[in-house]
Amino acid sequence: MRKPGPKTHLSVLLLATILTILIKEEWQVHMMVALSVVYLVLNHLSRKVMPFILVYVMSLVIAYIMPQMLGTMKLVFYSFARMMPLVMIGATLMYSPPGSLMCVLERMAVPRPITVMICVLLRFFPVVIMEMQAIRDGIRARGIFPHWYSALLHPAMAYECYFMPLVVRCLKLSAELASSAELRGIESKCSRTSIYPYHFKSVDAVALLIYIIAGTAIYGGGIIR
Amino acid sequence: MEAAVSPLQNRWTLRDFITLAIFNVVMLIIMTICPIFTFASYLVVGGITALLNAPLYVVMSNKINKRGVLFFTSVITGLYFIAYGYAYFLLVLACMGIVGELVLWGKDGYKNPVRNAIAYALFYVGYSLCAIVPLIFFRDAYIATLSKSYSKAAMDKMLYYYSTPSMAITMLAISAAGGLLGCLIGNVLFKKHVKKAKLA
Amino acid sequence: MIELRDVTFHYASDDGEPGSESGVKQINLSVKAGQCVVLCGRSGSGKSTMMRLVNGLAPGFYPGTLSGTVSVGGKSPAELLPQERTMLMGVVFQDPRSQFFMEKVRDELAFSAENIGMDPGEIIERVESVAKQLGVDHLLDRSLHKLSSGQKQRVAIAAASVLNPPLLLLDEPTANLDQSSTRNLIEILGRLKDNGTTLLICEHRLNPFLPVADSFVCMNQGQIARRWSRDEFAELPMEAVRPYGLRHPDMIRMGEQEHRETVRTAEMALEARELSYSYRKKGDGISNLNVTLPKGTVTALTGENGSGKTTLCKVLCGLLRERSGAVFYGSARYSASKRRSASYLVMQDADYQLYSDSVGNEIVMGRALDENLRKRAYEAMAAFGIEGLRDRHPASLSGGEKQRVTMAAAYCSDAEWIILDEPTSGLDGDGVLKVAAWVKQLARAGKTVVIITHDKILSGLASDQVVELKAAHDEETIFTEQGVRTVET
Repeated sequence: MRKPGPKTHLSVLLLATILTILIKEEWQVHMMVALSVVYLVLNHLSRKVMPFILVYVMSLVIAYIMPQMLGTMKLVFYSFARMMPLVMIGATLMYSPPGSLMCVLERMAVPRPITVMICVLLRFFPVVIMEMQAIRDGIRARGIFPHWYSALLHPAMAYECYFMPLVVRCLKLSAELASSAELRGIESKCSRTSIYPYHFKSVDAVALLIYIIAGTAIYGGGIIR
Repeated sequence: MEAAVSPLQNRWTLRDFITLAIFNVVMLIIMTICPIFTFASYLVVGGITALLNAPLYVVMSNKINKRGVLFFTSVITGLYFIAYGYAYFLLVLACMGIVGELVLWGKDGYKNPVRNAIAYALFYVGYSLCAIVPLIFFRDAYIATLSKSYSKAAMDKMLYYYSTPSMAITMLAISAAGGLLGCLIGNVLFKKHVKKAKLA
Repeated sequence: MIELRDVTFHYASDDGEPGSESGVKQINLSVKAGQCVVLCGRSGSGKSTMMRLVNGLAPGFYPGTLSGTVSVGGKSPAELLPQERTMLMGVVFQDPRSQFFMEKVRDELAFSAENIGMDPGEIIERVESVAKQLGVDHLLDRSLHKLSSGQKQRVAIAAASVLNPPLLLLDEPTANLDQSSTRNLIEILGRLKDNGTTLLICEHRLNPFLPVADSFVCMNQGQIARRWSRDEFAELPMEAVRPYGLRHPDMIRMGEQEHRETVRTAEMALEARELSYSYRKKGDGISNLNVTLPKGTVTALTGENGSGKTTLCKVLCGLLRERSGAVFYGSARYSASKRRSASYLVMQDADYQLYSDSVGNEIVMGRALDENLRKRAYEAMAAFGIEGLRDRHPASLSGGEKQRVTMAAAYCSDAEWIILDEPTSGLDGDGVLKVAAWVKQLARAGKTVVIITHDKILSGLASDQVVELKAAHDEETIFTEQGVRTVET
């Protein structure tokens, strides 16, 4: 079956945000998490479901077993659990192909350079993390901080050792990436297409409808009680 | 054929956008890692994040040097938190971004260390404000659930721990201080490395 | 296809590229459709500028002044509309890390076509056919950053040729490839050429290109110094190419006399006994490896990509902790953290290992500066010929200079053994000879040196022994290292 497109994710995220603000009861949050699980499964992301549920349960447990003394801290974990359904919907957006996302954004009259920027933002998280690991390896390979605690003894120097190569690499990456983008026709005036479905089709309507009905049920259940 | 190209002051090129995107990726990663400092205190997270990110911001602002650097940065940060479900971040940060841009308005504002520091600190005040909003927002809901299982007297005692205004002000002050100090360090590092290596 | 007539280009002075080239003068070059031309010459001789002129990034993206006429397919590349330019030429850059925009191979291949708004059905068809043609069809649904460097290079070429452009520009496509990947790449380029694609390639490793190249154009100090046809180039003796700093297979014979005696006198040695390491994620790594590296010698570590060379070196440096086995130095067993302080790994990309604000500070980095260290730092700078760069910022140096700085820092450090990862990738013939000399310099200072390299010239010139790692493919993709061969040169 075809998956819902990015337009649907955006609408669902909006709905979920409203719902999170409206609901008051604990069981409603549980239901919203369950609904998000359904949405993830619908998007063929069933493999990503488990960690989310785990984090949700854990933050709730931590919020309850923590001593009352740590008032604010308890509140932090509680808020985190409350936000979980939204995080899960957000994840579908993060895992959808950047090409279709760019396409949809462009059709919503977002200028091309900004869609490119969003694409780079999504794509470069793993790249930057790899760069950071390479820098860490480089520092260790030079034996500048021989022990794990050495960096803590000289935090300023440690920061500088990260900062310098990172800035150099970032500046280099951006120059090379920009020239590569230019040669691959990113500045062309033609409107973008995508090899992934991006039009709003029946499956999107169905997914959205399911979410609206279930969401209303959750909200309505809260009022009736 | 003679073709000498002079960069226009306020026309963003593709290269500027990509520079902005990459630096923001780095800053967002740091922003995502920083909440581990919660173990020290929830109050300092914003400040530490501001401190660590400031030098990167200084380099980016100096490199791009065009109107909108800070505004776009705040919008990107806001969008990033939307993906995590925190939609109101975008609103708060965008407003702070506009205020920051006003501070940076004028000739070479983006290369001016003092103005940069102020605008950047404002941005992080906004960021910390965002972290406080859900606490205030969910506080009532949380207390409501607690009140079912606790007596009135116990509740009053408990509420003491959940009072937020003074905590919020401390947090904002720490963030602002972190931002200012970070920009100070950032300018030192910028002169020491990036300028000396003629990278920007 | 390509016509350059009396072209001179100077970069604008405010261009912030570190180690950038100084432009080209009076270039006349014409490349006919369907030909394959290889541009060669020293680093900084203007090859990259030539590529930028042809693809139109100079003077648009890289500001500067241009005189003369550049025409590609009858038009000036800098004045083409973006979509016209994308249809006309595909460009493959040297570093695959900075030219991919998508996460999946399929999306990456579709990217250019999506940009110019091609019909989705046609894009899908083209992606499939180009993937089949270039042998990347089995990778289509894989994640880009999990590919090997050879695979990445092939995907980059496929992504550039998805629109079937009549011209393909490649910048040092073989720099990070081992021999079998290089052969594979050349074969792919042959297929594209048979389809009528014009190829312009900028390279340092020249001989592997003999099967596809029609002519070789040699640059020197911003001008075209020589042109050779394929047959002429194949027969050139080493003496004919040395003035232009090119690589030549006979360079391997240039320094054979000296390193015989050192290897036997060494009594201390770095020894790995039954060393094993496997990555948790993929299950590959090394297993039961025995290697002996005598003090004061140079060992070349060779083998195909994925045979565990880098893993072995990371274990030897203590960056990874061995799963079983042990590392001995002399008679003492060295733990991973002890190894880390006794070793120095010079990474392939020098950018990750330069942290200071000047070359002088870089060399003494991380240690208290006393008279002794100062003396040694000056000695190191003299040995590697970088005294003149003492106050420069490391990030402002050229690639070769950066590498020299990291090697000088290794020379000056207390490390007992020094490992160099691919020190000659992207270096011209002169660079290879210099690296060989510096490596021997390190060994003479009493360090145990290991070089990871695909470069036959370097291993022939500098090493006392060659260790070749072989990956034995198991059914569960576990690499075993039974095929270790120690060869005395």
